[in-house]
Amino acid sequence: MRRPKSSPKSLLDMQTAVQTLILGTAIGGVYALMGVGLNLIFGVMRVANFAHGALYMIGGYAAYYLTLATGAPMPVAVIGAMVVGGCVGYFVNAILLRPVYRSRLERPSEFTLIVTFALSLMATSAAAVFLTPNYRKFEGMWPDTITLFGFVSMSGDRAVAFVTALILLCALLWLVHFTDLGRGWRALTQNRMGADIVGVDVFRLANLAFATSGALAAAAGAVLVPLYLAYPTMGESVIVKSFVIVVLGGLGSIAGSLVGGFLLGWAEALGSVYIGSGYTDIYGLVIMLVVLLFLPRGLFGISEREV
Amino acid sequence: MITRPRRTEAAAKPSGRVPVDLVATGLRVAYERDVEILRGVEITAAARRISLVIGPNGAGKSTFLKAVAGLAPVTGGLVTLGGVDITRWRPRDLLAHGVALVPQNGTLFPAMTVRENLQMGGWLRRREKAWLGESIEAVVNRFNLPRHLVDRRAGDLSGGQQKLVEIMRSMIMTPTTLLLDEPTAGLSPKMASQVYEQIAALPGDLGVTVLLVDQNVRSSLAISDDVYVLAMGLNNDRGTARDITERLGEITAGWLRQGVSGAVKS
Ligand SMILES: Nc1ncnc2c1ncn2[C@@H]1O[C@H](COP(=O)(O)OP(=O)(O)OP(=O)(O)O)[C@@H](O)[C@H]1O
Ligand SMILES: [Mg+2]
Repeated sequence: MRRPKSSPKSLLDMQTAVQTLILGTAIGGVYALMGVGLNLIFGVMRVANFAHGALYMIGGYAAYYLTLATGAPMPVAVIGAMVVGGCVGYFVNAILLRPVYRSRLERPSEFTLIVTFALSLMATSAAAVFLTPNYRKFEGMWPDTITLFGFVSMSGDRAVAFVTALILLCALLWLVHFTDLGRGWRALTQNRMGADIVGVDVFRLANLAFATSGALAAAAGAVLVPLYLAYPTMGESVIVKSFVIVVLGGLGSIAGSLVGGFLLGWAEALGSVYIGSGYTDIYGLVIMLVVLLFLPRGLFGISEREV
Repeated sequence: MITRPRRTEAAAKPSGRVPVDLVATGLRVAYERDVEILRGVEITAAARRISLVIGPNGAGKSTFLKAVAGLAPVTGGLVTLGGVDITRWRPRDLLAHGVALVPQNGTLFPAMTVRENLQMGGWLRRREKAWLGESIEAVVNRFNLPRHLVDRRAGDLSGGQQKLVEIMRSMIMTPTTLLLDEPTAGLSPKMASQVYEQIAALPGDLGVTVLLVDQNVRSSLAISDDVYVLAMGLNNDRGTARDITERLGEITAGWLRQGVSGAVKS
């Protein structure tokens, strides 16, 4: 630790650390995209969407088959995947979750938990049966390895995934903070009855939240296929990560999920370099537990009344 | 003959407002199966009058307002607005027909500023930016809200200030029928009397029909026309404000004997 600064060993250490953080940031952007979408639904409707990973998987396959069938370039494939994910999200809410909006339903959150969990299992099995469990891949936009600052190397596709995630995150923040739709979502997140009495169309806004969330999850799935491939169970570890991010950042807080996504990316990257690469999925959970121990509402969680 | 009109947002505009009666007949509400909170309540809020509903804690007063406003599960009975069946309409559709509610518990958006909260009151007319700006200005002046509060986060206001903003927001909703649940709870006496003044002026100035639930019986009786007494989910008494004021001692003594009544198993 106390070696002179200029020694080649410590320079190497520094470079490893920087490389690790940059890789963590790159994947963190995509994680944030997943977390933000899940948290949007949680905020607007107070329900956990267990089909979020399935939408990620659907996005991956949609992009794959679009490229396969039409030879469309990556950006088109991603947009296509977003349209598919958005439509699936919209109709899941509009058709299957409709009973939640009838005031007579006694346990809306249990109902959605069961429905979305069942949907997720069905989607995974359907993919295995109809699309085979084979791993699928298409060529990304930038398959070469790129080098930053002379010592950080990562695949160009990773950079593409990060930039795409960043663009979509900015678009979502704009939607939430500068449009009437976003204002309605924020109102619903902050006070459901308040939104009801001022005439916010809860059902329509929830449909649109599901569509947006589905589109974001599908985009995340699509941009990662060139790196991690598409296969039926690809959404399973991602849904766990998404929940970790949501809890880490605070339920209902979009900014919290943004930060949570990057924290998870860094934790995984640092953990696998400095502790061991066999337990990547554990690091996020550990960070989450530690944060919850000191901040039970998550990093940006606001009090129950304010959500 | 009861008809169901087309639900349009246009109806929220004050143009073409016709004062009509809001009538609840045999209204029943049960949040859970077999536990009826309202067991056939009959209340008429006559057009351009102030109707007051009083009763002991847990009588079902708030539940009644929520049921009328589409926020509580109605299991029987009928609510009509000028002869139109509005039972179980969604709050949004009711608002489009001029029925607005200010619930008992806080319904502000805490992370939004007071101004943004007031803007949310104009949600159904959100495209009419100029109109909305003027209405907010007018309401802030009418209720003497200190200027510096307008750009504060609503969640940072005191309980009384929040209640006041809620009432102000309901003014932006330009209702023809306004349901108010304990509008002065938590307000200082000075603020409360100011709010009562505003409520008292609603029928005359804006042609608003008011249905008021209030624990502050003496002050609310002073501005009311008709009074209904609820107890244990049933009508217990009714009369003109003068009539009830005279018999008030006898009526409230009855509440004490009953104690705090709650739900009754049917
Ligand atoms: N959401 C709910 N679920 C189940 N029971 C409820 C619900 N809301 C109210 N109740 C019950 O309904 C009864 C009437 O409640 P309500 O709030 O209408 O009384 P109230 O007359 O407004 O009383 P207060 O004067 O204290 O405001 C109470 O017994 C209450 O426990
Ligand atoms: Mg009450």
